[in-house]
Amino acid sequence: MDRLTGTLTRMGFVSQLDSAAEIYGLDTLLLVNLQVSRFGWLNNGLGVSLGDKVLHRVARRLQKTFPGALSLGRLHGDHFALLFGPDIDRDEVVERLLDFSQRPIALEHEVIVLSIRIGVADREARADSAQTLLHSAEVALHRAKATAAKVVHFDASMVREATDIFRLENDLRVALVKNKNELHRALHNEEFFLCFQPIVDIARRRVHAFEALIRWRHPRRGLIPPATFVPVAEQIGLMDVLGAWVFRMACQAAARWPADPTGDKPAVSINVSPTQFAEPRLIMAMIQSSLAETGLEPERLEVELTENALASDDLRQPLQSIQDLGCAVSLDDFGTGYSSITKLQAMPLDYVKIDRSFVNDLCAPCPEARRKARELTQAVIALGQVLSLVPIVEGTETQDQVDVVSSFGATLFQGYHFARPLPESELDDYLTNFSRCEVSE
Amino acid sequence: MTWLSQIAYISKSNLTAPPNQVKDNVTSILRTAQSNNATIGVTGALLYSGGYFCQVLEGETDNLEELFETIQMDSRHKEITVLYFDQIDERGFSDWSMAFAGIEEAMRFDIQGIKDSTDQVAMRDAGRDLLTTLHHLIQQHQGLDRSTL
Ligand SMILES: Cc1cc2nc3c(=O)[nH]c(=O)nc-3n(C[C@H](O)[C@H](O)[C@H](O)COP(=O)(O)O)c2cc1C
Repeated sequence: MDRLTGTLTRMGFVSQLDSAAEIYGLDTLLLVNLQVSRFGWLNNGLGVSLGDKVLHRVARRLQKTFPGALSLGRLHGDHFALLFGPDIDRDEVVERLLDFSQRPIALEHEVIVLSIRIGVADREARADSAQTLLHSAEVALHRAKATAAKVVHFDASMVREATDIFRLENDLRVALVKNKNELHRALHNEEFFLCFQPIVDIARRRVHAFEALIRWRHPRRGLIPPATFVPVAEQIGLMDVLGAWVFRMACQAAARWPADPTGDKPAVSINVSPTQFAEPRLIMAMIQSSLAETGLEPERLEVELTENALASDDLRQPLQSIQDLGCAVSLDDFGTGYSSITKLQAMPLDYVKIDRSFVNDLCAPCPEARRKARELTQAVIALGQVLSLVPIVEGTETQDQVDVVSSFGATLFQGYHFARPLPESELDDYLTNFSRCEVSE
Repeated sequence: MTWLSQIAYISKSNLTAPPNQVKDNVTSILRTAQSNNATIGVTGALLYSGGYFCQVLEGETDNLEELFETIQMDSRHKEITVLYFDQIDERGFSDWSMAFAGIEEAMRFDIQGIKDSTDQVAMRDAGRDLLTTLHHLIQQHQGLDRSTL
């Protein structure tokens, strides 16, 4: 059971889907996946506990609206799934769903109107297992989000995408099992490894930190980009193992880095996913034991989380505890998420990473686009400064971009202009060369 | 100390029956409302106007949230637009568990205008408008009831 909503978890849902397939036959089932997204949260900056209450309300509404559903589950975050048996009117289900889930919710003097997207899979998906049916509905939902359609029914054109995700998920499970010992003990293994991308400080002419980035080298399929497998790992609940491994490996690496010619050692910046933050105690334990095991100085550790992580759970306390240890907290993809200014202000943060989308157009050929990009970037940096957050500018690819943004007051930069993500073996050289070039300029 | 709140909304009726049956249906909603509301300390007023329901509800915040959730899941209406949901110091309809402001042929509010406006101030103004209208109509009604006795 999902504690928040009292509905099934993904695992529970899949197991009921399995038994329903046995009882009724897979091709008689109707599976409806939906994602609720919030409207107006930006304006009001609704608190976090309110977000939880909204999800609870949604679950209750779904239960009431479809008393005849075989199962109801919350697969993750704001994704729900409903399973129906034979003899159900597919169109009516969708119609009722659209109607009732988008009726206003009144909570704590806020009126929240949700917007939903729906992915439907039934016999047309030609699924041969409960898992495949679920994937089909997920792919349809994904398509709905990508095309801004309210409802998408899974059809033959999506089969490929579904099998791809299915394979990826399987491969990921296999890889994790195969490397289980190494992953749990934070050892090198055949398939996963880390790269490090420098974050440089152009004012102090040194490497401020290296951001640890996970890579997966599949024995047959080669390198699989994190943007492809990390979301899958999150969805199926495997990010905890991987995340913990990244964390400890990155701390181990950082403990080995030499001082640069100025005598300072660069920090290590590690991404922590929202699902990991679901258990703040575990995160704290992971950080403390990693620091203790590796002897890494706490002030050389920066924990990175995305802006969207702030939306889902109450992170103020856990983040405060991380700062209390002496570590820094930085907010990734700043300016692209949903957080309100009031919320940001209340959060214990040290750095904000200005998303690459701001930097992209800074030197665009079109003067209008350029002007807009500059104003926006400047505004985002200024906002960070008001909140006492130090900006780190992501995605810088040219010296021109660096010049423009540094004139707005930013001194920390990351991007291909400085370096791609590097294998650990090249970090020493990078450290030596960076300060030498910069100093000799 | 429990807080009092008030919520006002307009919704489109799903009642498609001929006029006399609409009246029966509305009366039945009203009956349910009156008996249920009395037990949970909710008061308010209801108007049926040109195919739309206009309702103000007030009571302890928790009760009100629950009741509103029930009401707005009712399939006898749809397209619910909340005009405001505020904390109040004093009830506006303390004498009625659900006062009836009548059934009118023509819609007296610019529903489309209200729906299309994303402006909270405009919504609030419409809400205040509704509140005044309801008070006014209820007084008229009471007068009528008495005169027909
Ligand atoms: C426009 C409208 C207004 C309603 N107002 C109320 C109300 O004020 N109080 C109430 O208990 N039910 C109200 N209802 C009815 C509820 O939706 C629901 O049917 C009722 O609370 C169920 O009560 P019961 O379980 O006693 O039958 C209203 C329904 C509609 C369509």
